[in-house]
Formats: sequence, structure tokens, C-alpha cells
Amino acid sequence: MTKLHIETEINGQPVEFLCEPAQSLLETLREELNLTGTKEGCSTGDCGACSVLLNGRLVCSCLVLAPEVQGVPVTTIEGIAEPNRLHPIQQKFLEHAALQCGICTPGLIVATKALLDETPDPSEEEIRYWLAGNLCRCTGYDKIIRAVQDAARTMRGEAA
Amino acid sequence: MSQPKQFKVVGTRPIRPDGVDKVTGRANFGADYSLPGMLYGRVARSPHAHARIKRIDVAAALAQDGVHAVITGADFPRVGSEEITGGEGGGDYADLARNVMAREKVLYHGHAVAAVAAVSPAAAERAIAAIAVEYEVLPPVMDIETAMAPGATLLDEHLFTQGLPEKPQSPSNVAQVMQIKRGDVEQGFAQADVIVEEEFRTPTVHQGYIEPHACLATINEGGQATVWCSTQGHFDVRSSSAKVLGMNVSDIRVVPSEIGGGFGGKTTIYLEPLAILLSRKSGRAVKMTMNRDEVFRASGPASATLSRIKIGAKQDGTITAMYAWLAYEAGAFKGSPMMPGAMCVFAPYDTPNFLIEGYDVLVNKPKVAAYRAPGAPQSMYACESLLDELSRKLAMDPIDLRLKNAVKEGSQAAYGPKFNAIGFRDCLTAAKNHPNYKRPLGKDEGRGVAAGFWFNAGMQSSAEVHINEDGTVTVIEGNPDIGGSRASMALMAAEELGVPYDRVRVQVADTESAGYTNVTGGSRVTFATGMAVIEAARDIIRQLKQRAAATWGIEADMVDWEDGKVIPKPGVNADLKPLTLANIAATSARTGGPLLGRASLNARGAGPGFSVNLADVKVDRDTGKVDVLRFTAIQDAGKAIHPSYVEGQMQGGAAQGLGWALNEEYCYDANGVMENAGFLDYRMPVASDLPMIDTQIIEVPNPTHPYGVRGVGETPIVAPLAAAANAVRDAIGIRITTLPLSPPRVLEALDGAA
Amino acid sequence: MARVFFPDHLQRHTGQTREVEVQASTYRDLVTELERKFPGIAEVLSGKVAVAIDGDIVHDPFLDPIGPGSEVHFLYRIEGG
Repeated sequence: MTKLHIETEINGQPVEFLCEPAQSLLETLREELNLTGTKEGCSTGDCGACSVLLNGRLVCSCLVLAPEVQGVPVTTIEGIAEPNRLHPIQQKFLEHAALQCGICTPGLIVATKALLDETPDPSEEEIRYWLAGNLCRCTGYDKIIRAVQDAARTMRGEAA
Repeated sequence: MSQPKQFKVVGTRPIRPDGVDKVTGRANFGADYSLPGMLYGRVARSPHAHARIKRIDVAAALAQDGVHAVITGADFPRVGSEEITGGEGGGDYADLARNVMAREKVLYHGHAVAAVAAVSPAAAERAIAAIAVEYEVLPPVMDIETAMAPGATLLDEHLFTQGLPEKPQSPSNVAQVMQIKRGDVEQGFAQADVIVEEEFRTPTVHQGYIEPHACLATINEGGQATVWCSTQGHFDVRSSSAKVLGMNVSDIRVVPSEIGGGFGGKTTIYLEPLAILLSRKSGRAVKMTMNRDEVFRASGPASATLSRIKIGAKQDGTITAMYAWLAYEAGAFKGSPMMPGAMCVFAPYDTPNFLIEGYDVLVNKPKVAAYRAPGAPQSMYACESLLDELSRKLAMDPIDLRLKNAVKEGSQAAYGPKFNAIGFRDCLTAAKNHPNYKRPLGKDEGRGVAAGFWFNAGMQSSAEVHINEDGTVTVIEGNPDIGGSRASMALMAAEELGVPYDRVRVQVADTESAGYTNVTGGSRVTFATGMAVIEAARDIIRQLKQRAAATWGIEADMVDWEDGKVIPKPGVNADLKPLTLANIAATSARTGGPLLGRASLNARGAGPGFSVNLADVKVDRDTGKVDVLRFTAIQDAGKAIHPSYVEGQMQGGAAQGLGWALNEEYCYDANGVMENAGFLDYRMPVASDLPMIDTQIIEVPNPTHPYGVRGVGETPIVAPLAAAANAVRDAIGIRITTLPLSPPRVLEALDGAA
Repeated sequence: MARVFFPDHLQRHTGQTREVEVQASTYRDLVTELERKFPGIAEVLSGKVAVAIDGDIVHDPFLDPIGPGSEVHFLYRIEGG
């Protein structure tokens, strides 16, 4: 099977790679590009651990074929923070202890960024329904929701 | 052990030392490792729930391009029967070996029959599809009643029930029976004014960790292996792999990755010995992962159960007798948590007469593994539900009924010993006084109360404390960090040493770099490994005092340790300026060498953890959906080292318990094949299913830990099952006694009552 | 004298005796004394055992001290998950 040659931008950097036509973006990110921050939890689009942004849009990378990102910028967890600084979402997850094992955390942070980029002042209900596609088995979601609310406040420039 | 009165850093909520790597995607979990030239391993699995293996033909698979090795049961050494250290139900290494790779029989759909290593995941998939296995299919045994019936198809013709007064004549699917009794139950029931009795069922459920099992193994020509894997206990991976493969323990180095959830399900081995063997055969490193389908079908879910409970009480609420008949599904091999389930079922209550009968039953499902307080959620769901019925019959507040009979310090536990200081009554009182207990309820809304309990474990831990040249501190320990334990170790070391928290780093070291340490599980890490870290810190403090005294040319008993410094005792030369860790470390070569404190211990006196939960639900009578409106978790933690992570355990356990109660179950077809082996249809709670989970930490210090710590990780999953079930009963006036209370089941009950 | 309690599943080795008094200052001595009273029980207790000594549970006891009024309960070994 001849591999396809794909050119795109990942986390603001130009990237090119070879892939099988049926290879998922998730597998390509992890196995070809060594971007292992994006996690595999189910490969059926149910758990959200593989969440990335395609042109700013939240998707499960396990449900995206690698060739689909030709010319479409991708943002992964590795691209959320500025070099050497944490994004407010990451900072608030830490402050609120919104992670225990941490496996769902990259996907949740990417999903939260997509939410707050679109809806800077979400209600608790909006947050919960937006993040319903990101499974967490450790936290019961309570501290995650609080971290998101606090991150939203910070990003809106409001005092804590 | 002394207890500092006022804590300086213990009890605060700093950021965990491993946190930045986890929010940036840098932290490496089990599937994140690679080695040059590595192969990908995949497992060929049984399509039948029960069958004899007649023949396995791997020739076609081996002939495929890119396939470097194939293994079957024949590649493994014979493993004799030997009890496994750890585990809840008399697990056996011979069974473990058969579970990781089938030998004569396959005993569940998904049971491993062969494995391959190939150049890509796709090549490995093609190879396992080419493995030809000839089976003699046998009838599957899929539930307790079928397994226990006379003339049932047997999973193991050589299994005779243990625990009977005489060895039985014929083999059975019942691996073990046991009994715990006190007093005279018949007399106790005769004395009762009110008797309630009921039968309860719970389904097979999975721990649901988001990270599937994963490992990378490499073995060199000298037989020395290194395994990177996601596990709760890398020392157990080492010892179990050594047993299954017939290797020396010292020839296997296990490096624990970060772990994406375990909850008990990662305290055993599945892929690791396969990867080592494939690496040996192929001469290359082999990476193996399970996909989600395999995790459901072929790892270790929690036992389905059938329980019959009977309770008798006086009109004033005093319990006079308690009876439990508890049957637990072990899955394909013996070893369900029937025993701990039986020991827990009546543990919160002081009753003079009880009889508990337990059964460990084989069925054609995956071999069960531990799931957070193994055995207790199932049995205590039944008892706590029945106590709710009793409170209704007595027209008594359910918390008052429990207070009337609650164990306290000095009570004889149902499982034997007298309790030392415990916090059950404190939790009950806190629940009664909690504002959530008084909130008004609307139409179709209901409130449920339930108690939870777990023993908590001690066992063996090792720790080292190194003082670095600049006075900063490195702690070396051997417990994979599932839920923030590095933070707790750092807090305890910082507290003892009198240094700022951020000058302490904690390393979770591999089997060749840390002293032997038991699993991250059993609610033991903050207790037992914390105890080891504190002792290692105290060991280094003794050394620091000696070094300072030597530097000053005085006796070691003329100095004190205070606030991170060595000072001369009052009355001794006042001109001597205090020496900090940095001061002493800077001159350590002169005074004797590097500064290393160590401790290794077998921790005793783990304090039991009690909880009380309040659940408020609303039932939609048209759809049968149960919404959780409010949930309150109250638990005795002894001393919360890092309160955020204690709350996290309480909230996470509550979510799992609610999932168990309301929606999670394995659904099987007539051939014993699981129908819902994915997250879409194995429905765990998502963010929109739950409200904020209110927590209240009670602190009744455990006297055997220097800071009073009690384990907190497991108790939280126990009470939510009955709390939710009792709330549904309150909301709709009907008690459904089979879990989960999923919409179809609730609708069926509502229709039946109409 | 320490009071030693046997759970139901160990009582087959003690002739159904549930409770016995024993003079011993360590767990090791306790087992020696118990073997005198109930021959064969040392073998049963040599496996993977847990005991509660005055309410404190310990796995693999051996050198653990037993006090004059101590209560010793044999328990099934629980690890957890």
C-alpha cells in the first residue's frame, strides 16, 4: 500500500508526514509524530481523551483520518501553552486539583479551550454538556467544572 | 509515634509536583513509550465463552510479511498451584498463568489463546486473524443460579469446593464457601418485633479506567528484561511475571509509567508476560496495548452478586439479628472478593447475633479483579437497602436507626477484632446536621441515606529521603501516583524536615531503584508509604543532628531539631548559630558522606474508614431516567494530608458508585458474549449526569499513623449504591432490588405497580 | 494471658474452639503455644495470614509483640483495590 504524503500545520509549526489512507489522526500524532500528549481511550469517539482542534474546531482525533488534515491546522495539548508558560486553563486545573490520574486531562483541556474560545461566560450547565464527551473516571467532574469556571473568569480578565 | 499538634504544611492545598507535566501532555503513560525497532503485539482471543482447545495452528500467521513471533500456551512453563501474595479471594499463580494465556480450555469470550509480534499494528491484526484454532464448544455458564444448580456444566472438573466440613465427592463450580457467625440468629429473630428480608442482585461492572492496559517490554540475549507498563504495583508485575515465565525476579526490571486509572483493575498482569515472551522470541522490543473492547472483555471486572439479607429489630430500632447469604461470581477462575464482602456487610453495626454465608462461584466471564473496596459495594448495597426498609417499617429516621446500632471505639467488629478509634458515629451525626439533609423535596424526588465501610490496608513500603547539596530534598518511593500521592509524600516530608513544600521533589522509582513496596491500592499509600516517608525523614534528622554536633565538636544529645535547623539545646553554647539542611549538606563529605535517610516497614494498624452518603434524586416517570440532584459524601479521613485530593477520592468514588447504581452493567447474549463492550453502551457517568458533589471530611485521627492518617481511597464507592437505591425508593414508592436502576428497569417497576 | 480468637474457617483446626487463652510475648511464641494445644495449626497459619493485635491489623506477623491482656484475632487477608 503506497503511503500518502500529507502537509499541514500542527501547533503553529509546518509538519509533513507519511500515512496509510486508513490511518487515524490519533495514531499518526502518537506513532509517527511522537506527540503522545493526545491519548487513546476507546478509539470509537466515546471518551474524548483524543480531543484535538482542527482549525479551532473540537474533534476526536480517533475519528479523523490522517489524510483529512492536509492543509488544515491542528492544535494538540502540546500547543495549548505558550512556550514556558501555562495557559490559564492549565493553571486552574492544577490549582483546583481537577486531575487525579491525569489521562483525561489533555483532552479536557483542549475541549475547554474550544468551549471558552466560543463561549467566554458559560453557565455550569453549558460547561457540563460541552464536556459530556470527555469521560473522567477519577474526579466525578466537580473540581473540573470549578476549574473551568475559574479559568473562564481569568480569561475574561475578572478578579478571582 | 508522636503527633505534631499544629501542622505547618500538612492540610494545605499546594499544586502537585507532577501536575505541570500532566496538564501539558508531557507525562508518559503506559502506551507513550517507544524503542527503536520495536514491534507491535496483539492477542488472538477466544470467540467462545466456554470451549476445549483441540488444536492451534499458527503457521499461516508466522508466514505473513512483517510477523516476527507467535506464542501460544505451549510457550509457557508449567506453573504449579501457589497462593498469590495479595488479592482478595485466594488467587493462585496457576490460575493467573492460565488467564494470561489459555491452556487446555478457554473459559470466557475474549480469553487469550495466542499472541503475535509484527512490524505494525495493522500487520499484527492481520496475523492474529490468520491463527486457526479448533474448538470443542461447551455450554456457557453465565450466572450464579445456573452455576450452582445440581448437574451444572463444570468449568473445572478438578475443582472441589473448599471450606466444607468434609471434602465433597464431586467437583463443583462453587470454589469456596465460608461462614461468619456470632451468637444465635434464630433466637435473635425470635426476639425481634419486626423482621425484614429481601433478595438483591448486582451486575458485572468494570472499573472503567480511561487508560487501557499498555506495556513495552524488551529482553536481551542474557535474559534480562525491562518492562514499562501502566500498573498499580510494579513490584507485583515483576513477581507475577517471574512466576508465570519461570524467571528470576532480579531479571525483570519494571518501570511504572504514569497510570491512567486503576481502581484495583491494574493490580494484576495481562499483557506483560506476553510482551516479554514475544520479545524473547523476536529479539526486538514489543509494545502491547489493549483496545477498549478488549479491556471490557478480557481484563478483570467486578463480581456480579446475588444476596439474601434478613434483619430483625425491636420496635425501638435495636437490631437483634442479622443474616446474609452472599454469592459472588468469580469469573473463569476462583477468587472473588466474597470474603471481604462478607466481612464488611454488617461491619458498621453492633449486633449480638448474626450469620453470614458466602459462596465463591465460577462462571464463564473474565476472571474478576479488585474494584475499590472489593466485595463491599455489593454486599453493603444489600444491607443498607434493607436497613432503609427497616427504618420505614419502624417509622424511624434512617440515620437514627443507624446511630442506635452504630459501632464505636471498643465495639467488637463483625469480622472479629475490637475497633480502636473510629469515626462512624461522627459521620452519622454530621449527616444528620448537614443542610442537605433538610432541603425540601419536590414531586417524584426522593432522598436516600447509606453507610459505607472499608478496612484499609497497611502492608510493606520503602522510602528514602536524600538531602541534596543545596539543602533541597528528594524523596524516593515506589508507588505509582494515581491520585496525587506525590503531593502527599512531599507534604509529609516537608512537615517533618521543616522545609518549604516546593523544595521537595518526589520520585516514583522503578523496581531496581526503590525498595520493595506493595501496590498503590488498598487505600494504603498515604498511610503506609506516608509512614515510611516520615520515618525516613526522621532517620535523616537523626543523622543531621549527629553531623551538626560533630561539626560543633559536641555530643549528639546536646542538640535539638527545630523548624528545619539543628540548634544547640538550651544551656549548651549559645554562640553556636543554627545549622540548616543546606549548611549541613554543604559539609557532608567531611562529616561522614552523603545524606541519605531510609525506612522500610510492614505497616500495621491501618485505620478503618467509615462514610455516610446522602443522595437526592428525581425520577422521570415517562422515561424511567433517574437524575441525581444532590449528593453529599461524608467520610472519616483520620487526617487529610492534602484535602483537595481527599475530596477528590470521595467525589470520584461517589461517581463510580452512582454509575454502578444507575446505569452500568455487562449485557450478555445467549452465547455468553458481551453485547456492550464500549463506552457508548457501557454507560458511565459523564459531566452532564452529575451535580456538584458536596463533601465533608471528618477527622478522627488514626493513632497508629504519626499524623493520624486513615486511608480514604476505597470507602467512597461503597455507600452510593444504596444511597441512590434508597433515594429512588423514596421518590417512586417502589423498591427495585436489581441494579442498575436504569430507565428500562425503572419503567418496568412503574408499569408493574400501575 | 492473651486472648486468641479463631474465625469460623479456622475452627475446624481447633476442634470448634472459638476462643483460647495463651501465654506469649510475641506472635511467634503465640503460634508455638497454639501448636501445642492444636497440633497442625502452625502449618495452617504459616501461609499468608493477617492478624489483628489489639485491633491493629498486620499482614505476615512474626516478631510483633503481644501484651499481657492483648486480644488477637485471626483474619482473612484483605488487600483492596
